[in-house]
This record gives sequence, structure tokens and C-alpha cells, in this order.
Amino acid sequence: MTSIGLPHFLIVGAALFALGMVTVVTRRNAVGILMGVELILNAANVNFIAFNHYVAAPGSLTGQVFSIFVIVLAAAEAAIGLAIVLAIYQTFKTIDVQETDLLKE
Amino acid sequence: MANSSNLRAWLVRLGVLALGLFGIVAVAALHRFAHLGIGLTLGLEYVAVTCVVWGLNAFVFRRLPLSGLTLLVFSAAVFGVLFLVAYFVGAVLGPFLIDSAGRFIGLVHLVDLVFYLFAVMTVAGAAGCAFSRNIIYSAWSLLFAFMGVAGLYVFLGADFPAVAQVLIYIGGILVLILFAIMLTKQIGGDPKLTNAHLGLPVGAALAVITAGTLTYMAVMAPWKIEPVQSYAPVSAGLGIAFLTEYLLPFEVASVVLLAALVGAVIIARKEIKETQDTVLES
Amino acid sequence: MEPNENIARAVEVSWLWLIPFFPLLGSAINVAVGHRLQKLYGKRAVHFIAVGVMLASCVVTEVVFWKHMFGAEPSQRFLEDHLWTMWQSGSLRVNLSFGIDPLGMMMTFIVTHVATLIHVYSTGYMADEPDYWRFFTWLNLFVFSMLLLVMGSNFLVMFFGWEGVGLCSYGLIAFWYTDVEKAKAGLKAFVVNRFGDFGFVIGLFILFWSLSGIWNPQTNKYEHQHVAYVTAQGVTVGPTVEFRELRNQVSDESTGMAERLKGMTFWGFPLLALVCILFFVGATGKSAQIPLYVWLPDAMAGPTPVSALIHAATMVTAGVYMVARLNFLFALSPPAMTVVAVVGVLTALFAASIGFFQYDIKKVLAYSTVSQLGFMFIGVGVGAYWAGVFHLMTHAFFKACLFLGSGSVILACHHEQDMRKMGGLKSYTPITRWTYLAACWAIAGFPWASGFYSKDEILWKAWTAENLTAPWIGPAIYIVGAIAALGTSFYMFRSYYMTFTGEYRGGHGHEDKERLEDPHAMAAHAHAGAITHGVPDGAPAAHAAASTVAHQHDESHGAMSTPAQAHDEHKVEVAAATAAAHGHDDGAHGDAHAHGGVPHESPNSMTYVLALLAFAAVVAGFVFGWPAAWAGGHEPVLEHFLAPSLPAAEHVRFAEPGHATEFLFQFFGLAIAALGWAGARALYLDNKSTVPARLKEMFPRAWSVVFNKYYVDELYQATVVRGSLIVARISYFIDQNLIDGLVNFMGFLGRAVAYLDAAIDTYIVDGAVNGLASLTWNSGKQLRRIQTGHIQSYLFGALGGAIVFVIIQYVIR
Repeated sequence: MTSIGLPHFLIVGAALFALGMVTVVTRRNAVGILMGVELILNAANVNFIAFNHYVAAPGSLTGQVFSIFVIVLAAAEAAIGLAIVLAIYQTFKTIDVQETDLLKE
Repeated sequence: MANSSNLRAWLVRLGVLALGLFGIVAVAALHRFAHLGIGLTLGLEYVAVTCVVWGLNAFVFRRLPLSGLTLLVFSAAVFGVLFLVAYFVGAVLGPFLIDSAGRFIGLVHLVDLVFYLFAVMTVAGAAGCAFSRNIIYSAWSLLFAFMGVAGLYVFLGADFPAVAQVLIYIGGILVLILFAIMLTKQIGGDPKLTNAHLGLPVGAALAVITAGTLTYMAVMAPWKIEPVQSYAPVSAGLGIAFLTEYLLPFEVASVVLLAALVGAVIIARKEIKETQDTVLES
Repeated sequence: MEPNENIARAVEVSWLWLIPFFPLLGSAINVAVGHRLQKLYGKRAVHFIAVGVMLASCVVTEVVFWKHMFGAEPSQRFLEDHLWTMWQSGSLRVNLSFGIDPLGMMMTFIVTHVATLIHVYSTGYMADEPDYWRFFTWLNLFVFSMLLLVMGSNFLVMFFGWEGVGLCSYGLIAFWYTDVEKAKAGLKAFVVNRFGDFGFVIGLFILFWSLSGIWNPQTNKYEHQHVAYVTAQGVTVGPTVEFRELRNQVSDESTGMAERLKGMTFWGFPLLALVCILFFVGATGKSAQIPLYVWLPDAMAGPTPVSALIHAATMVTAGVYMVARLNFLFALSPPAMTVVAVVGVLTALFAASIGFFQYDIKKVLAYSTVSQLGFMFIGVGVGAYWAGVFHLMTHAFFKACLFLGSGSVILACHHEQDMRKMGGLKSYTPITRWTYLAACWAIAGFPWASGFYSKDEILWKAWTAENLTAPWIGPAIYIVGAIAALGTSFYMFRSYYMTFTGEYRGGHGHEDKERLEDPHAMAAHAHAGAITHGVPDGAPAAHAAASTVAHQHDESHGAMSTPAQAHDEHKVEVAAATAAAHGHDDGAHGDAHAHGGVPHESPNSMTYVLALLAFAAVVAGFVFGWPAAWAGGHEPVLEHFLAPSLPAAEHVRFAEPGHATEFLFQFFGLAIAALGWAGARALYLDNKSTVPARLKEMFPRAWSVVFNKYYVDELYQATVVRGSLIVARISYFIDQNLIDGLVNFMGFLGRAVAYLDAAIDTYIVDGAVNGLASLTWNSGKQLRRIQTGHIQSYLFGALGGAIVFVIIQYVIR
């Protein structure tokens, strides 16, 4: 029997989350930030499915259902997010988020 | 021209060298698989080694041109050394390595290896995405991260999410991202530095702390692990769940997707229209 | 209860330590005050001390032999002298103790006696050396180390000696260290030996490891236990470094140690074969076998007595001695024995073939030594331990004689080593010539001289050996060995004919070039060392010619020599010497040597030694090794004497095809020797034949390959040396970048702390008041900057805050 257990997946999820976070926080490129968001969503999905596999009662599919919803939302988020990026690009002629500091006003 | 004859000699040497190398391997194979006699094997190997030495002579130790008896003696010496080395490798080192490898492999489950393969692929992909200085490379790394996650899903018995991951993330989202990259003028003057960082050390420190905290939690928390894990196909179950228990969320998700579709079209189209207007106006 | 023949019990002899002590004492005196003694009382004082301690050591050796060995029961021949326990760690107990068994006795005999003779010889040979005291310090220290090696009763003492002789060898090869080439040769010998020593040490570790634990006869199993115990027979079983205890527990079958060792594996290798081969790796380094032989020919850079003592008679035989000493281990492992014998025979042939075309007389002898060592390893490899050791002994005599003879020749030709510039010396140096011829006779293997008995015994045993891994190996060794023996005979007589027959081809006196290059020659020029030849009058008539010629030259060079002779503190001695030198052979040597002239015979101190060694070289063979086939089955004296030390010899099997076959083989050996001699005579007698030159022209390429020693040195240069250099460069790089970076970083850290200190002073102490005032203003200014408008900054703050709360949650709980 395999020696791989729940913590292994959680650790992978944690690593994915942390890397996604660092991407979101430090990227200057708006598209890069969106990639980071995808990574964070994937981290959540890994955790969902891992918990569904190891912790939920046999036959229960709640975690997987949630992961499917997350994927759906991720698709929507990507579409909207990239449309926003294009809009930003149209407005500011750049996608460098350092330039987009209208919140300061 | 002198060079052409030189070239020809050179080619001949090269040919003999290749022939000799092939001969060494071929004779060894014959001995191993066709039970060629040991005396004949050694003799043929000697001839092959002589060929190799003669061929090599065109390229190395040229200060010592070999021919005739010298060649035979020298290649005999080379052959002897090779024989000893081969004997050492074949009869001593090889079994030792195989033995050690056998012991080592006995400690490792193949399944675990598959997991680690996917885990490394995922984390390495994510790291590439986070730290690459070119946005295109980031996107490619993201591909690997998604693939690895899909593999992990399979490992967890989630076949449908795995396929959905591949189809939607890789087939949809990643392509979308690539389009976005394509459609926007990249920042910075250097086309290779399209993905600059800001405050990376602080961000990385934050990430390390986050990962550490989460890992600590994952390892230390007393999870209630189910003793039996199911690897049955889930597509049918998911379909039933969506149309019974999760019908409302399912419909809401459909609406959200529709809204996103419409919203994306509107956001993008408005800008294009504006630019067109500007173009027309000017 | 019947005492077991296989068990050796020690006889305590509390004064064995005197044997190595005397040379150590001499070395200590000379190193401490030798320089001053030489200044105050001349070189005589130095060599009186050095030779005196050697004589004392000889006397003690003789007493040990006649009192405790001669005629003693075989079981009474294990003498031990336990001085003290050096350290004890777990079951490892290392004593500083000396042990002499018959094998050690023989070695001790050879070492002390040959060394004494060579000391005496050196007083003549090194007479012109300014650093006389240093030479004898090293030489005495070498004898001390060698005695530790052969008398050490355990591996550790032996290893001290093993390393000590390596050190002394280094010091003596590089004795004229101002010449870079010679210093390099010393370094090469030292470094190459390290490779071998590494194998030796690893082998020792594995052996020690394998001995721990005991065998339980009831369960027939090996039980791990780290404590030694003593059986009913009085055999200590368990981990030990003592040779005698090891020998007992391995050769006494009731302990089961031999069976256990045979069955043990180490990482999948048969343990015994591994241990023995590792030990043999050590032996290849010390005894110059393939692939570690390369240092020995270069070691000829040292003074000739050193070559004779260290690189022919004693040190290089240490490997043979060790294999013979551990015969009980080697005999249990036929693969290891086969490796030993095969490497031995390959070395014998390889070195002999190089010896064919060398022109440097010492290089010829060096390759001959490598070749003969190969023969010894054949002997100990096929299981004829006594034959190998016998060859060791005879070789010590005849090779020492050859080397010393070559030294005499070199001196006669004014430090010329190239045989092409010699020739015709037989009329100038008659004693050297006859002794050299006798030694050639011995090494070539003609009957009644010693080489015949030892070499033929070895080859005969190789033919009949049955303890090797395959039956055809023994005869193969015989055939290759016979070819090598043919070569031996050929090149030895070649060197003889080139040197002693024909016309003298050398120049008269020193060539300027050589004088500049050779510090020894310069030293010779510096002053006349006549005083050191403190041998009484009575020059043989044969010296008269040389004496006369030398005096003629004295006249012509008198003006030149006077300033040199009036060399500060030697003034008095030289004056005395000049007075004593007229009509005196020693004076003739000193003057002729310093100022050139035709070749001349060496002083008495050298020729007497040559004569003694030549006598031993001829006689030792039939005294100690009269073959059993000739004596109606009585085993040879030496074999009988050594039997207690070589318990494995009884277990190693040989075929016995009968005496007729043995006679046939002996005749064949004789024919080979004669063939080699005839070939050399035809080609090189009087240097008339043009065949060698024509052969050289016919096969220039083959000739150059062999002359350049098969390019092995170049190969090592390209692989091992270059590889080491690459590693060194990498280390240098690491040192430059990593270590230095670390150091610089530490420096930086220190500076940073200092700045911090200054900052505390400036900003905290001074700025406390100011700071408080501006705090409000500044904080407002800083806080305003947080409001960047960058969404990422906000996100960063949010995430960081969340993490802080999570951590606080953990900490507080």
C-alpha cells in the first residue's frame, strides 16, 4: 500500500498557494497576476479533492462538486479578468499595475 | 589538393573507428546472446579494439603514430586494460550496483514515485510561473503546473475533475491568457524581461511564511482519515449530484457563466468600439 | 594435551628493542649535533657515529640469532619484546612491541648487515658531500624505519615503519634538493607511494572489522561480539592487530576463523580477496609493481648508496615481505594470490623489456630491480613463499652489489651515468669489474651463483602451482617469467659489456655543463675530501696505475686546486690529508676525483664492500637454497628455517611431476640465461658490433616506444596528474570565491556591527529628543506613503495581516 497520505497533498496545495500568492503580490504584469490567481484556485481545488478523497465518507462527492464549481468560476474569472486587462490596456496604454494607481486619488 | 587526400584518410580512419566500436558492441552482444565461444570472442574483440585504436590514432596521441607491430602491441595493451575494466565492471561493480539498486528500489513504492513526479511537476511549474522573468515562459510553466494538478486529481480518484482541468484550464484558460499576452503591449523595453517583479524578497518571505504555516497545519492537524478510500469512477455520481442535490448552484453557475460571457464581450467590445470611433473621428 | 603445532607462542626477549634503537640513536645524534661535529672534527666523526651504531645493531642481531634462533625448536622461534601499550580503544589494543620470527629474523639480518656495508661504502662514495651529516642522518633514520617495518609485531608498528621508510626514501631521493628534477623525483616517489598506502590502510580497516565477533561451534554460526576471547588452546580470537595472534587464529582450524573469513563478504565482495588485494595495492606502491612502479626509475636521482640500500635491497622488498608475512591470509584466497602472481609476472616482463634500451646504468639497474621484484611477487603469489623470500635475500645481495658497483663506475667516470660514455673500464677498475661480473652472473641465473637457485625455484613453483584460480595460469606465468629471465640475462650482460669492455669513450674530467647541473660535482670541486677515506694503508697493487695517473694530474691541476683546498675550516684536514695521501690510494681517489683524469678505481672502503657483497651474492644461493631435487628430498636450509613463519605453505598445493622434470626445467633456465648472455656478448662485446645501431634504425618507432618506457609516465601525466590539477583548481576556485567570500563577509559583519554601534550612539542617544519631536511629523509623512493606490500593496498588507493572525493563533494556543 502506498505511503502517500493526505498531508502530502495538503503540502503540495500549500506550495501552490504560496507560489500563487507571491505571483499575485509581486508581479507588475497584470496578466501575470491573473496567472497567480489561477494558481491559487488550483491550490484550493487540490485541497478540496484531497479532502474529498481522504476525509469525506465513501461515495460522497461534495469536494469534487466544489472543485467543478471552482473550475467554472475560474473560467468566468479568467474571461472577465482578461477583458478587464484589455480594458486597462486601452485606458492606460500599459498593463503595468504600477502605473494604475487611480485608487490613490 | 593535399587536403582531399587528408580528408579521405581521415574519413577512412573515422570509418574504421566506427566499425571497431560497432564490432566491440556486436561481439559482446554475440557472446552474451548467441553464446559465441570465449576464445573467439576475445580474438574478435582484440581485432575490434585494434581497429578502434588505429582509427583513434588519427585524432589522439598523434605524436605516436601507430602501425604494424607497434599497433598490435599497443592495442593489445589497450585491450588488456579494457578487458580488466570490463571484467571489473561486469563481474564486480555491475553486480554490486545492481544489488545496491535492488535494495534501494525495494524501499520505494512505484505509486509513490508517480505521486512525487506529479508533485514536483506541479510545484516546479508553479515556481516557474512565479519567478520566470519572461511572461511567455510563465505561461508555459503554468501549463506544467496545470498538468501536474490534473495528475494529482487522477491520483486522488477524481477522474472527471482531472479531465475538466485539462479541458478547461489548459484548453481554455491558458489559451485565453496567451491571447491576452499577445494582445497587450508588454511592459519594459527588453522583450525578454516582460514579467518584472516588484518587492520580490518581501513577497517571497511572505510566501515562505504562508507555506510554512499551511504545511505545519497540514502535518500537525489530526485529520479524520477514512480507512477506506474509493477509486471508483465519479462522472455518473457527479452528474446525478449536479442535477439533484446541487441543482440550484448548478443553475446559478450557468447564469454566472452567461453573465461572464456577456460581460467579457461588453467590456472588450466597448473598448474596441471606442478605438474604432477614435479612428473614424480622426 | 598435545601442543598444537600451528600455534605460535611468544618467547619474551626484553632487549630486542636495541636493534632499531641504535640507528635511531645515531640518527638523533647526527641530526642534533652532526653539523657541528662535522665542522669541529671532520666527517670522520659523523660516519664513526653512523657506522658505529649500525655495527652495534648488527651485533645485537647476531646475538639474537645465535642465542635464540639457531637450533631452537620451531615453536620457540617467536621472540617478542613488548615495550608498552600505546593506546587502547574498545577491543583495539595497540602495543609498541617488536617481534622476531624466522621471517623477521631473516629480514632483520639483511637490513642490518647490508645497511652496515652500505654505510661503510657511503663513507667513500659521499666523501665529497658537504652535507655529509645530513646524509647519514637520513640513512640511519631509514634503517630505523626499516627495522620497525620488519620487526613490528603488529600492523601499526609495521605501518609506522612503512611510512617512515617512505619518508626517508623521499628525503634521500631528493637529497640534492637544489636540483629541481631530483626534488621532483623525491616528490613523485612520495606521492605514488601514498596511493598504495591508501589501499593498505583500507585493507587493514576491513580486516580488523572482519575479525570482530566469534564463531559459535554449537550453532555453527557467527555471533557478533566485539570482545576477544581465548580458546582452550590459548589462541586469542577476535579483533587484533598483532601478527602472531592473527596468524594463530587464522591457522588454527579449531577457532573457525579461517572458515569464517572465507565465507564473509564485504558489500558483496569476498572479504579475503578484497583485503588481500588492498594489501597488495599497498605492496605495489612500496615494491614498485604495475601500475605504481613509475617512481622507482626516477628514484635513481638519489645518491647511489641510497639506490642500493633503499631501492634495491631493503625498502622496495617491503611489499614482498608483507605478503609473505600475511601468507596465512593470502593462501586462503586463490583469487588474490593469482592477482599477486600475475601482476608480478607482468611487471617482470614489462620492466625487463624497458631495461633493454636504457643507456643510464642506474636506470638499467632500476628496471632490473622492478623486474626482480616482479619475480618475488610471482614466488609469494603462487604460494612458494619461501622461494619469494629467498629471492628477496639473494636479490638484496646481488642487486646491492650491482648498484654499488655502478656507483663505483660512476665515480670512476666522474659522475657520468651514460653507458655510451663508458667502456673499457675493466683495466682501470678491476675489482669493480669482477664484483660486477659476479653479480651479473648471479642475477642472470647461472648455477652456483645465487640467482639460479632462487629464480629457478620460483619459476618451477609457478609451473607446478595448483592454488591459482585456473590451471593454465601457472604455466603461463612460467613462460612469461622465463622470457623475462632471458631479458634479465641479456640486459645485465649488456650493461656489463658496455661498461667494462672495449675502449674508454668518456671524456677526461668534468664537463662544464655537468658541473653546473650537478651539485654533487660542484661539491666535489669545492674541496678534496681525502680525509674521509680513513682506511689504513695497504692499497692493492691493482690500484697503482690509477694512483700514478692521479698524481700526474695532481701536478697539472695543482694551481687550480689550491684555492679550493684552502677552504676555511677544512684547511687543517686537507693539509693532513695531503701529507698522508702520497703513495696512498685514498689520496689518489680524492685528487683524481676532484680534478678529473682517466677512470680510477674506488677507495678501499668501497671495494671491500663490493667484494663482500659479491661473495655473498655467489655463495648465498647454494648455502641457503640447495634444491631439494639435488639433495635427495631434504628441504633447503632457508625453507626449513622459515617454516614456522609460513604456516600457509603447508596448505598450498603444488604438483609433483618428479625430479627429472625439475632437472629439465633447471636446465632450461640455464639455457635461457646462457642465451641472454650470448646475445649480449654478440651485440655488445667491446662495443664493436654495429647490429644494435642497425636494429635501432630498422625499428625506430618500436625502439622509441620502449626507450620512452611505453609512455606510461606521459599517460599518468595526462590522466592522474592533470586530474589532480583540475581538482586543485576547483578547490582553488572554491577557496577564492566561497571561503574568501565568507571571510570577507565576516569582515563586513564586523564593520556593520561597528556602524550599528555608531548609529545607536548618534540616533538613539543623541536623537532621542529630536526623534521624539519629529516622530509625529515623520510618521504622518510615512503613513501617507502607504496610500499608494497600488492594489498589490493593499493585497500584501491584507495577506500579511492574515498570516500574522494565524501565527498568533498558533502561538497563543
